[in-house]
Amino acid sequence: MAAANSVTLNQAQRQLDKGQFKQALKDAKVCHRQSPGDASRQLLEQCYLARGEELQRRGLADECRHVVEELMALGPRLPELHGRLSELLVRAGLYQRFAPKLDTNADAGSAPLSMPPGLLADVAILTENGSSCPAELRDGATSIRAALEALETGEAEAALSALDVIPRSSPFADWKLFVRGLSAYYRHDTAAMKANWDRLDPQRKAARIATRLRVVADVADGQAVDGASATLGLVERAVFEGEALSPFDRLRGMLNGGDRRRIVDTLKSCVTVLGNRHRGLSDRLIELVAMRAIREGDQQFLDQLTRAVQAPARDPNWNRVRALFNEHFDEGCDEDVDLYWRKYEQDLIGMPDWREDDRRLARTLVWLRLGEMHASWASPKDSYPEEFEDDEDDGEPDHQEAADRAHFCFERARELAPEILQVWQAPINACAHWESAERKLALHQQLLDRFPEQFDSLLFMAEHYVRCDQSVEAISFLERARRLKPLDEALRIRLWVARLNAAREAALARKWAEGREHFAEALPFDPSGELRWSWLAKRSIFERKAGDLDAAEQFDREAGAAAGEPTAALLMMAIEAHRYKLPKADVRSIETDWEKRLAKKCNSRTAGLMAQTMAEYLEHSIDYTNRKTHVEQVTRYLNRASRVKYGRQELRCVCQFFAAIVLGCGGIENSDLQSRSEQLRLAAGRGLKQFPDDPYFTLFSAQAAIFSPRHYMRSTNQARDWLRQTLELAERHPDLADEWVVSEAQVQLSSLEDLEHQKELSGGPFGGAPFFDFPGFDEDDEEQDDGIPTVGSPFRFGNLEMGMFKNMFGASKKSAEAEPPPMFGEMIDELCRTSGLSREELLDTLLNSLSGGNSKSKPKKR
Amino acid sequence: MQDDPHEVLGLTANADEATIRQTYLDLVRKFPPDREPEQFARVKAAYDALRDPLVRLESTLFDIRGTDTLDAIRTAAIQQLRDARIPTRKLLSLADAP
Repeated sequence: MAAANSVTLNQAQRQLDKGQFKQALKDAKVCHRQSPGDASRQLLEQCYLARGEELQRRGLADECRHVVEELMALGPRLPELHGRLSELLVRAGLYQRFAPKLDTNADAGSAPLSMPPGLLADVAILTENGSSCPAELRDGATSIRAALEALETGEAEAALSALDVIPRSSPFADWKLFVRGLSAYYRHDTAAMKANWDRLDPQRKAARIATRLRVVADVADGQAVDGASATLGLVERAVFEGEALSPFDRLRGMLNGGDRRRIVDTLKSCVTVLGNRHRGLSDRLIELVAMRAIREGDQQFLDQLTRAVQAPARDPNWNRVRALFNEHFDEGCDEDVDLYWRKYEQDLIGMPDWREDDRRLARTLVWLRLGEMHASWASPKDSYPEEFEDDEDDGEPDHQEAADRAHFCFERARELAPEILQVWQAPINACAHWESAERKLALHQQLLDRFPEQFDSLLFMAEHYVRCDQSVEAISFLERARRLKPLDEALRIRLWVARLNAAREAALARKWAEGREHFAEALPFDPSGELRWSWLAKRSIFERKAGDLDAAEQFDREAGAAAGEPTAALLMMAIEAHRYKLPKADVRSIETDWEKRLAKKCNSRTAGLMAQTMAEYLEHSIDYTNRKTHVEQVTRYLNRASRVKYGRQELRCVCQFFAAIVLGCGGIENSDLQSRSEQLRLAAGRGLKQFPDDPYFTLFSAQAAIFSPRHYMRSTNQARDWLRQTLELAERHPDLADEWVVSEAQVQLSSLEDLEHQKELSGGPFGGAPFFDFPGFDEDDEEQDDGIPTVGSPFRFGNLEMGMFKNMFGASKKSAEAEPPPMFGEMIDELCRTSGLSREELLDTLLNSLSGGNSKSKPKKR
Repeated sequence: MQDDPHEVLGLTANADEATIRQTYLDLVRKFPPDREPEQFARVKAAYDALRDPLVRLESTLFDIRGTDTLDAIRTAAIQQLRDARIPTRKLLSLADAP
């Protein structure tokens, strides 16, 4: 029996040690009943207490009270349990009932069974059932809890006044400090928080709470705190009712290569914890993962995500995410992009969390995006070389349908937010490649009606009227632009040119007085007199047209003198004679004079001025009867002048002339590209030798390399080097470079790098589709389309009309719309030569490399 | 190429108007125009772009580059933890937690 009893006692002790208090209590009871003694009694007391505490923690109040009552009936004697027992009595609401018994149960000489007042006060506050506390503690506990509840609702003053009744000597004085510190914590007053909480008794419960909240405050302030994560976990469980922060670390690891399902599961648990009370955070998490799926083009991942978690508030039906996915993923469906954006636009109408104005603006932006997308699909297919066209229907809407859709979308955007500049600008920018001239004009006019100070539109209108030989109209737009940017140099030149154009138009209409007035009005736009000689040359032709031959001769002489030598002035007069429609005999006479001067000994000044004059007419697509002959004559002169000693400016002009020919400016036919690009290379090389710090010559060298008929890849690599060098020189010598040279080098470099990127993507033997973006031959080139140069042109330097935008002189429609030179065929032939393939084999190879093996597939336009 | 204004100011795509302004003011103090003119110009340009509600909205709707990060969201979560008014019962339960 004794052995059996001993076993039971050990068993009970083991159960107690293992935390299985229910079984431990059972065993202890049996043991004590069978063999009452000090050992079994002590164990029984311990088991009662542990079981009672366990039941209290679990909120099983009745069961807890029952166990405590049994313990008190037994009469607890162990002094080391007194503190815990007192606390349990208070928590179980039995303190008042059993307090008188506590002292009577104490053994003689042992400590009294009651708790220290401070700890008792702690228990009174922590116990919801405050009525069970001794009366002298109940009021203090109630005041502290009232203060805490007032702070919870943000009523700091009420909270602090609730503390007034607590004296400094009270066992609740510690809690008074805690409440004051908590008030400071909530209002982010760290100093006050510390001042109060530093005075807390570390043995008291208030100090335990304060320590944990201080960790949160320190971490939020960006301080590193040891063991912060455990404390944060405690507080987040109290605030978020679950763990929201720790999954972040798991999620980070998973996003760097974890499997998608686990990411979605972790995200889901995170979002569940954050719930609706912290919707902003959970939406950001969802958005983060969704954008990741979009960037990776992972449809399956996105599907898992949309099935597993609630859609974010800003995209309640996932329509935006699906639209973005289809938009960015190469295999995304274009029609789906349209569909989902339209659905999202409808979602926006009922978005509850957004302000009305934000909803309207967001819908506007969606329509603009749709408009831009349809506009990009509306680019005419003939921008692709014929060989690359696919006969099969590729499912893309045709040009007209896409254009109509684009117009519709832009119209919706305009209806929603007409006060926004973008809704007027977007159709202009998006449709620039294919919109008719009349429509473009109407769009700019509409924009100017609403925003009369739009500089670019004012320039567009001016250019349009110059092109239509209505320079007087153009001048009114330019004057408006000038009021906006009075110091704009390019604008000054534009006004100069427009005035001289207006004079020519007046002469053709036989309005002599008006023409002379325009000449007079032009002069203030050349304050330095730099352009005086060209003004005089044109004025001479004007007077000849008007029949005042004496004046014409006078201006003729002055032009030659102002230019420093008469040959270049004669060239300009010969050109203008054609444009002023002088009688053939007069034109011939001027040309004969010029040719006589040409035959004389070459000099650098004449070469530079003539090269610049001719280049300028070419670049601005100004065509006239004898232009081709003039170009050949100037070329011959420059060839003869190969040994003269050039100045920096003159050599730049010579390069500029050859570059204009190589680039096919103004639709000039270039029957001998090899020879012209070689001339450009030589001239640029000479410039580099004489002026190694001049970025213009590295830029011209790059152009020569790009258009060199030599091995394609070698030339482009060389060109890239030159362009990089141009940018370096421009940075080192800002006095030698202007905006044009920098922007031109950047644009060409970026084109070459795009080309290289396409080559890498396609991975074919010849790379991607170099021909689509070939620098200088891009039909969609901004400058060619809207007629406004990006910054200026190399023609800005020197003493001619510089920086003029294209067609400013009133080029004929034919020349303005001239086709680019037939380079594509030449390049195919060159590639055939270098690769040893036939033309058909080469095209097949190229098509395969473009389509990743699916021959005859057109590259996606987006 | 123009810098991403959010990146320049060190903000996430979700930053609200007050945060944008506060960050801008902090950066202006750090890069005064007289001492750091280039840096100031970058910050100013970025702020000008972001203060436009249309630009902000555009970024919110269409930017997939993911300027938001887990760290930023975690920091925001900690801030919410810091700012939260903890219910009294839960606050007191922190005393008993192990």
